[in-house]
Amino acid sequence: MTTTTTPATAALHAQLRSTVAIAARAISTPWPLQTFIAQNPLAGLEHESFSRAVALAGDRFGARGTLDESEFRAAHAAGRITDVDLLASLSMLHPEAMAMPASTLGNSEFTAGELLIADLQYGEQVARPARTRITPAERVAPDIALVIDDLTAKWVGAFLGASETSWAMPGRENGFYTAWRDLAALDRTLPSKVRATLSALPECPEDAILSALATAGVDPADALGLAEAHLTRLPGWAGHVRWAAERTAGIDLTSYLAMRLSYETLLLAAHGLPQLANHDLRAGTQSIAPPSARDRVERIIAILGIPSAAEGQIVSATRVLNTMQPVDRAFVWLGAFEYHYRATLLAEIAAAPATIEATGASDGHPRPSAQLVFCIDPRSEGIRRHLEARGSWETFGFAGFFAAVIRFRSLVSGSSIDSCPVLVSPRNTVDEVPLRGAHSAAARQLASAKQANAFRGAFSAAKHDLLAPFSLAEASGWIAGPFAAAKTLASAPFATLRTRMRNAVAPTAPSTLTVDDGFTLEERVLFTHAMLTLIGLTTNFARVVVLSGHGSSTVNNPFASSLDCGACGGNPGGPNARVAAIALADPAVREALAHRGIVIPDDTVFLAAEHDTVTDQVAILDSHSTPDTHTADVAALTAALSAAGHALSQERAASLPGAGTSVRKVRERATHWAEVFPEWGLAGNAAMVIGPRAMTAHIDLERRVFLHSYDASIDADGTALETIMTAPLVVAQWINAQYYFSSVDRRVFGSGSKTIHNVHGGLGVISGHSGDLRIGLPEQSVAVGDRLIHEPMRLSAIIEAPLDRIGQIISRNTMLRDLFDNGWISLTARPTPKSPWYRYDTYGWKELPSS
Amino acid sequence: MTTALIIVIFLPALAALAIVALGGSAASLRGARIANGFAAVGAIVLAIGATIGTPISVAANVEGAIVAGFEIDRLSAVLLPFVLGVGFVVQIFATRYLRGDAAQPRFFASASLLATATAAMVTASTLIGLAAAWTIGSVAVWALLSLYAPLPAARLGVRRTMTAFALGDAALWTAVAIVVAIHGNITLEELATLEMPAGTVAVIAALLLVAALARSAQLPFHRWLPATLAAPTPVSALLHAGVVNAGGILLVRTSPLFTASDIVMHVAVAIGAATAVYGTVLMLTKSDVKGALTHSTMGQMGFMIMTCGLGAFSVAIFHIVAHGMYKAGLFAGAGGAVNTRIAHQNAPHTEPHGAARSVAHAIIAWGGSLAIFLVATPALYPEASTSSTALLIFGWFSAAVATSALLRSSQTAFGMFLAVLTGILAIVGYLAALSAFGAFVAPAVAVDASSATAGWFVGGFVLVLVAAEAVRRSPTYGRFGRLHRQLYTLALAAGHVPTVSSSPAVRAVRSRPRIAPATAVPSPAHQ
Repeated sequence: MTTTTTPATAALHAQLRSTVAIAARAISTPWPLQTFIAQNPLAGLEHESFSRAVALAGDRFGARGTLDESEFRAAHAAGRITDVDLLASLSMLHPEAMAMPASTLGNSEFTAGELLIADLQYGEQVARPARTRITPAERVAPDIALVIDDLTAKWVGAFLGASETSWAMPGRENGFYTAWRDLAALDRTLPSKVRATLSALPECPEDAILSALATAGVDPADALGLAEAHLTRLPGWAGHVRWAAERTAGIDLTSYLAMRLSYETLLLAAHGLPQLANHDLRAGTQSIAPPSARDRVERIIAILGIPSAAEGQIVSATRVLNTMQPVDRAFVWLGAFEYHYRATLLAEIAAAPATIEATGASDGHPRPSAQLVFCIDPRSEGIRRHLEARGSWETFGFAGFFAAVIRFRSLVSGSSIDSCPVLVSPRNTVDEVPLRGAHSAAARQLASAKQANAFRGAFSAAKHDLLAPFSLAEASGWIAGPFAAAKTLASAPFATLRTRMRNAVAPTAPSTLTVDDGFTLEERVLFTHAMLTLIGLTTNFARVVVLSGHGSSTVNNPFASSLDCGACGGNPGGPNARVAAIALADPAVREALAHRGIVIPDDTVFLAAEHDTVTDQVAILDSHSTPDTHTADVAALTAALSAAGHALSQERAASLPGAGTSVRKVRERATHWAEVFPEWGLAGNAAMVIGPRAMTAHIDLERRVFLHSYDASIDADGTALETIMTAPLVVAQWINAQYYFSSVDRRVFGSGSKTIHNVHGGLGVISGHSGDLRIGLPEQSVAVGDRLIHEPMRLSAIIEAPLDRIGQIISRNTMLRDLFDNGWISLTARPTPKSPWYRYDTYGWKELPSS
Repeated sequence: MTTALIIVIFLPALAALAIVALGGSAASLRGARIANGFAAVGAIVLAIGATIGTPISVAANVEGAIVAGFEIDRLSAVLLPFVLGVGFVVQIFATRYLRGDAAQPRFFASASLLATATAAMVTASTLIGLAAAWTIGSVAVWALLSLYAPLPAARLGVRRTMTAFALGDAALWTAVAIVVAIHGNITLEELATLEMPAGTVAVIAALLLVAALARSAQLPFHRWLPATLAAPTPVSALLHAGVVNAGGILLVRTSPLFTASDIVMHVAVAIGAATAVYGTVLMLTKSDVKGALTHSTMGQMGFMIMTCGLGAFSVAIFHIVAHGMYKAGLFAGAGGAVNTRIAHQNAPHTEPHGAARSVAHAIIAWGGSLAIFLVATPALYPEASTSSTALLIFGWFSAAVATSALLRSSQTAFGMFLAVLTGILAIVGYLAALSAFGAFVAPAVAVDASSATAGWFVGGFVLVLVAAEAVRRSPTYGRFGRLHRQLYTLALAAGHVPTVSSSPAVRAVRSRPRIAPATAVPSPAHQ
């Protein structure tokens, strides 16, 4: 077949591609596991209100978007949600109902709120949503729909997983569609009629779609519903295709859809089944109509045992309940669930000891023993709290990449990683190089890494071979068996032994980073200035300032990256901290900063560190850069960090399954290959506080709050706040939404249990031997068995800054307007420490009564 | 000692009973771990005892005739510590891995039952005892695969496995029934002295082979193993390290019957070799870690059954134990795949060598390791039979492939020296281990009943593998392109386990699908 592209077909193709792009909004774009990036699975729907997006997700995936009413009711019974919370939530969501007069039922009087609460408590539960936007095959022949899914998983898996196989999909260099077309006709699991037609498919996927649409009797202009139904059927595979398409990997959703539609029309035709036109797609379920408001009033009457309610009474009560539909109840419950947490937190912040002033303007204050900047990650709150309790250590919160957007290559690595937030692409390349005098040690380290790699490669070459694996198993089993036993029965000693042996063969060479080569002076000044201004650390520098990134030591864990620093692209944050510390040590940078008004005393030393969130040990990196004059300061700090880490491990032991109260049992998780609960990660996250540490320093935030330091007094034009709200706050919302949805529907938005995970193509996991590529977090990240550890609540942003400054920033940024106005995040603010709280909503700021 | 043997075998089953009786309480699970640990350590002590002294045996006799018995001979001195050791380590692994999982108590109960069944199978001294232990093992596997029965994928695994096992167990019991009908309840030792018509023996041997093929996931009973991944990882470790080996152990234990029929032996070689090619080719196309591992096991078991068919029984047992440990470790560590990928991507850069050097490397690796095999085998493994010697060709392949990969990535003279040294040490160690192992189990394992045709069989098998390799390396398009693409497509389809129905497209073709009622079907991914 020859392709003659006329303007008309070109236009049709363009129209199709845009239809596919619009349909793709319904699915998320999961990153491969090695760069696990938290995201809102409904990110494409953030321009809709939260409740509408949840309803749409129900239609498309059959997914839940909130906890079940039964779970909320249990929380109510347990006191986690009170009637006060429910009333507060009702007045936010259904103010018109709350304004209605009280009604009488029998002899008892019910305020509107009481009546609504009775319905919330006793109303008949809403059924789990069912997928209603379905494909023609789902509609007429569910078996064929399953066959199409299997074929999809088979071919897309073969294409995307090619790098992980020894016999990769032939012809993949021609792109997915062509390679698939050349192979699909040879697939003998299909009826011969289907194979014959497959071999004659058009050369480009758009034409294949057009031909399938013609067969199905769907006008290309009306193909959106069909495209959406197909893309949402296996959201994991489709999402990974979308991710790959953004990286020109030879596959995109158009070819994905071309494959699925071709299979569908051909299989339906082969079985003499009708092709459905577009309008039939939504037909699906008209599930049992929800109970009417009157039914619900009668149910309340029956359950509360109210005798003889008059007709008039019932009618007036019905009017009240009519303002809140059964599907709205979950959102009222969710609002109350969040209100309870937020109100408590706001009251605690408001109760701050009056003596503590904002730290930024603390010229008159004594110099702290040291200042430490940690990541905004909620896990940092734990180490900060325990450290602060042990002396005059001042801490700050800043996104863990320390404004250093780098492409980083370690001493023994052959390639670079992007260590920065995923939405920016690094222009500055930084390499780890040996210190002067350490070149031979580094060479030794590199040689041993290469040798280890050669052995791994040789093993893998024999393992993935046709002739070689048989005796390989015989020879290596005798070594592998005892190793496996040792790793299982004595993981900690085994890990220690391994580390010692590695250090004996090739000790880690002292190194530094090529910051001066990677950045111009101006760039270094720019990013360090941005960081210091953003967190309000511009005066009163301590003798030691530590920039501490974080990483998570875990083994045998496909989701390891989800525990590392999100601001560093799912990598450990040490390199970024080192870059910032090296830049700030540079006299030229300091001089330029002084010109910009930030005077760093000569005796201030910047150090990099990394917090291991599994073991709570904070390692000072590049310890060679500590001058002798500061040895004592650093020793004192190290001791305090060690004590704080110990206390934090003890605190965390309580919630980690099987840890009891033992610090050892917390820390051994870092090296045990059977561990599925290495740490809780960011589970529990519920709020973000943007303001000086003084707001929260007195509170145990239970590692649930993102803390971004901010000093409104040195940010008159709001530039710093705008950066914080458009970058770290947005990322916090991604993380929050990821945990939220992975918890409320652990099957659809979460990736299910780790115990049957099967890493596929190095990209993601499937559950067991087949099926969709899973998205989201595993169960073991949010729950122990059926018991949720993460309380799914939308993020509560709490800011201390002038209200009109915040308002202007929101109105300038569509993304923020979407998040705040559509209810994906709540926002509470106060202009000064003394002032009351104000809640933001679409109509402006509302003062909250002080409690 | 004899009481100790009974305790070691049955303690895990008692622990399983206790778990069931106590409703899976934490104390009962702790007790089960202790019981399994005790059994594993006890097995080692008993094995040492039986090795130093005489075989330990215990039997229940009624009026002088044996009813049931267990024995530690040189074969079970290897297998008993192996099966109970793997069972115990996997349970310790699962203690952590299955925390918070509602299926945890059932896992420990079933795994403990499996431990006893396997321990009894490898030590049973009567034919009926062996078959009974075998079938209790089937029950334990059913329980293990049913841990996540609410998942349709898990139910598919149960269905396929139980179908294969039912056929295999039926064949085994039929064989046992025939023998018992003729000779009564006999011991395995007596099998060597039985007088039976050749036809009868051939039927029995064929039935035993069917049982072994079903348990070891061999063609045409192979479909169950790849469908078992919806059971938690520790279950896979047990299946791949223990359960699938039972086929080989059965053939070794009943070797007097099995070797009595040349035809059955040849069929075993053919099916084993076919499965080895099939499983290994499919493994190469699998991009999911566990899927590749299951097909690798299938291929490895094919190799092992082929080894049995060639009469190289001690080599088969050597393979069983080594592969079991190898594969259990790979399954347990399957979650490390993402990190492996990262390590691979970030691997230190090595300069590729020129063509001339690459050829030199190949010559050193292939020629050198062949030379070492030729020189070292007579010295280190003089007792090797024709079959065992023929099988050494696979040792050569492994050594050559691994060594040439090492040479490829070596940059310095020292690196090359290390590569060559590794190759030599691996070959020498391998030969010495094979020889020592063979000598150790010799008293309990039939002397290699190798046929003179072994070389032809192995040669044919190698030719098929080489042909498959040639197809894999051939260009995608052009002259043999279609063959390449056709074979790839067949392999990919054969290795793909469908989400739910057993063979969806076929089923869809045969039975015209009903028109579904106008209700939404749940998306299969989330069932």
